[in-house]
Amino acid sequence: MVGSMVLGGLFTACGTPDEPVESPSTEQEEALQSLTFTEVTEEAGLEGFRHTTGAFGNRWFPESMGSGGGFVDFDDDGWPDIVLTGGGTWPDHSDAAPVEALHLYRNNGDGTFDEVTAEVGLGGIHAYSLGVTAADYDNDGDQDLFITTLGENLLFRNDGGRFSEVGTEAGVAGGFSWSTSAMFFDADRDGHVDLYVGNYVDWTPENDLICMLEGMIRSYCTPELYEGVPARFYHNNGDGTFSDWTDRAGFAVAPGKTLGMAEIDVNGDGWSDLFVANDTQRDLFYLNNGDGTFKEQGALSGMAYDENGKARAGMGIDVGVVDETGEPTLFVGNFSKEMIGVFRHIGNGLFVDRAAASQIGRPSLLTLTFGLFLFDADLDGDFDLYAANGHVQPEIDETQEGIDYAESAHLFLNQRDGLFEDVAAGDLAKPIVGRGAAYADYDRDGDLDILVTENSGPVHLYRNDLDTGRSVRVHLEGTASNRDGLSARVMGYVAGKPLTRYVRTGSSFLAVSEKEVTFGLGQAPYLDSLVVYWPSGAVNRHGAQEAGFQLTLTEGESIAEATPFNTLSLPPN
Amino acid sequence: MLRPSVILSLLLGGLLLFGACTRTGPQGETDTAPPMDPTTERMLYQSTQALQSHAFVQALALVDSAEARAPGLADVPFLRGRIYAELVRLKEAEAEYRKALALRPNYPGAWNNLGNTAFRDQRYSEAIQLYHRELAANPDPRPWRGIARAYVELGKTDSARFAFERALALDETFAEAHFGQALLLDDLGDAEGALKAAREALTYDPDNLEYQYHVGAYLVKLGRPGEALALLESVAEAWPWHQGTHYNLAQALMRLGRTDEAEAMQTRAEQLRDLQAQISHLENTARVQHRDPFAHAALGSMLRRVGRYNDAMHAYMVSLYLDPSNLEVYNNVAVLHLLRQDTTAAIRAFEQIVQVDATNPHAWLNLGSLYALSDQLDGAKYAWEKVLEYDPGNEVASRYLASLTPVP
Repeated sequence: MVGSMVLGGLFTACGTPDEPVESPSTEQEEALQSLTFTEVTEEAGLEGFRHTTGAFGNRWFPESMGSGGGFVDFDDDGWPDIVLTGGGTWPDHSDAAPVEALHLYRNNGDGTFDEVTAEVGLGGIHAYSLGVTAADYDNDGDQDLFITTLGENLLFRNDGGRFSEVGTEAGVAGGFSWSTSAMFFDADRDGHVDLYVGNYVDWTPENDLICMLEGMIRSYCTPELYEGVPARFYHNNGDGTFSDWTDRAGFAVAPGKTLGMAEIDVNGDGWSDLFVANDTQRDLFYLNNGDGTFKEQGALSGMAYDENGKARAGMGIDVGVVDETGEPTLFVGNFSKEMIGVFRHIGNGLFVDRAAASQIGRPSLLTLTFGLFLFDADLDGDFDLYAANGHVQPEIDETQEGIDYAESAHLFLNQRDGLFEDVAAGDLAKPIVGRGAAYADYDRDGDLDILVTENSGPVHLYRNDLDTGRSVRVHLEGTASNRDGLSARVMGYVAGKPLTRYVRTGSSFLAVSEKEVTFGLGQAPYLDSLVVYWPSGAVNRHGAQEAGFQLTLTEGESIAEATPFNTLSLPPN
Repeated sequence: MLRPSVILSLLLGGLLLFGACTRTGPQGETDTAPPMDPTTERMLYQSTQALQSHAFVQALALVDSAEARAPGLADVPFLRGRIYAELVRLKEAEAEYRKALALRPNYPGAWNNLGNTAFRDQRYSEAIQLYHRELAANPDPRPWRGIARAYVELGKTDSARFAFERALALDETFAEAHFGQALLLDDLGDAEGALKAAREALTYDPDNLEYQYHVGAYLVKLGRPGEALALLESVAEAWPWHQGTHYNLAQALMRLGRTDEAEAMQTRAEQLRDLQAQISHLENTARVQHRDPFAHAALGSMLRRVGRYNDAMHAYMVSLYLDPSNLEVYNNVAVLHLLRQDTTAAIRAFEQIVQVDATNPHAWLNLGSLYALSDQLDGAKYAWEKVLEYDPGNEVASRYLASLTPVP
């Protein structure tokens, strides 16, 4: 068990903010040399998991999309646990027993996990499960789970580590729909997290169409053939229930076919704005009107299409400040022969397409990206981009030269000048049929590890072996704001440079990452200072913080609880 | 004036314009074109002309006739291969090109066209090998461009860049290679370089709307919307169906602060995008179901609807090749001729319809109108009388006929 200590608001004993730091290039070189991700699925005890599609030969569309998963600290012990969606079977077309919709693995704190699905009340749930997100929607101090399905969605309320399904009574089940990714965020800053649920297309076994690859091979259909279904938005009433405010909040008129969404405050007005990735439809940019309602303005802003005005197959999505402009950049995973979309905000709600210029475009052109997220892989202070890839047509290798079904992931390392370089190697580069992807520091050594699901396959846990310990991690607890501090902006200053982080759910595809934010320090010995902009409007400032700790910051308090990283996994000094 | 044999050689080349009948291969091998009698030569010339106007049945009939007169002539299977390629019958096209090569191992353009069919079939590595065979036999910039495009598809950008450079080293005025370079540089993140290369392409092919569009789009991307505006407006005027141009125009207007105009332009771009999505779907269907005349006819109708008349004609003619008895498609072809303001061709098309179905009053009515438009009043009178013969109550025909009667 790691110890913890209480620190004052100003921590300056370990040096001054003006101490010199090494040049970024040297730093980057060193980080590159030691940046290794090792697959630890088996030793972590996750090798038994298999996603089930229920495929029986008819190539029903939903089979190609799952599965989801991610990290949730369900028992609030500070160790990220793992949740995975199991998929499903088709009742009239399989003799096999129905599969579990959910699998929950408790983190034992020693690099291993134990499945506790039944033990915590999540066993015996049968649904065609797809995505997962998590938040403390009832502000009672524990993480609740929201599962998207082909059918009614499921909300599992967590009461001290035991779950009860309350989707219908909470008003978020949503009727029969094919839901995909979902996101909790505080749209109206009322201290209760709201819920945005992406829907895909109007597909049922009854209206299934037969599609052929190159006219020869039965294949999975593409979404052009089906009507899109718009997302739903549920306003949190603060009493454990939600109201469907899709229309009232401005989300009713939308093309649907949504696979991912991400939030950020684009214009710095303190209100969360929303980006939505849609498959073969324009992507969306919802600007918050400053009252929890939204106006969509993607097409004119320049982020909805490729440079020729063509809609792409938007899948996973993330947004963050990745360069010194201080402006957010949006990243959207797309189909093979479509680059990952990269759009930098240039002010006034306008975006410029930087896919090719960022050097992400070309290397991503032949891969089909689902899960995608920004994280500081090498702890040098800036966001890098991970993309999980895998095609949807198992026979694509036979019909399109240069395109594969199982594909390597991309790990685009940020060069700090708006340019990225794909450095995926080793275990991370082994081809898989990637889908959902999430990150967390599951071994609490201060760097970020990766979880990726495979369609009709296993899950993969990649441990980041950087082991520099040169980061400061921040966990928020809201009081006036929502308990998770979702939608809070956390500014860290390292060697005078501002680093912008948001506490969020959403992003990526069908996945949930940890809510802690990580400030990589590079060669700097400490974080100069920290400012938290809470969604309630409160602002808390904290002083310098030495590397190697996770801070818990409570809204309105100047004292931080600091827990040292798990030093067992750090190299000796 | 060019001699027919020279014209024939030019036209037969298709994607490759080799004029000489005798050339020496890389190993000193002599590849001599056998003599051709004037009638065969004329047939092949006419077949090429028919191919250019998408008259596939006629083109194939003429090439078959030429073969009957002069068996063993490599020009025949080569031309037939080109016709099959236009009909999206790629396997048959490949077989014909290989026949040409069997008859004449260095037949100019045959390896190149085999490369093109492999490329269209997404067999990129094979395409590269085939283009190299062409280069070994007949050095020319076009196979280098084909190689470059195949490397682009395979993600081998350095090799693609090298191949484009080789193409331009052989012919610096080769606009398509400059344009290919522009696309590649844009993909690689060098928008300035892309703009320069696209402008270079325009230097050698100034009327090319595709190049003009890309120059405009690169200017928008580079944050120079003011410079892009006039260019994009001119492309939009010529290509009112082109979604990308309208989208980039909207982006340029938005960045210039002309929000209302931008919104209107974006609305138009959205409409065009919906239409383009339908076209793409129909194109894919026609490609996959290339023997289905209805797939090509549906594509033709959608292309006609958006104003892409040349492409529409191609699709209709493929449909008619597959099902020559479809009078509805004949009618669509005739209407398309009218839309292209080619009254003579429209008359010919309606005449074909009434030859097949002499009892069709609608065709007679249209034919009469076209005769009248071209001052062939006797023909008009005859046609409208035919309408009344098969549809005695047709008031329009009666009114038209009455208008022909001189007022006393």
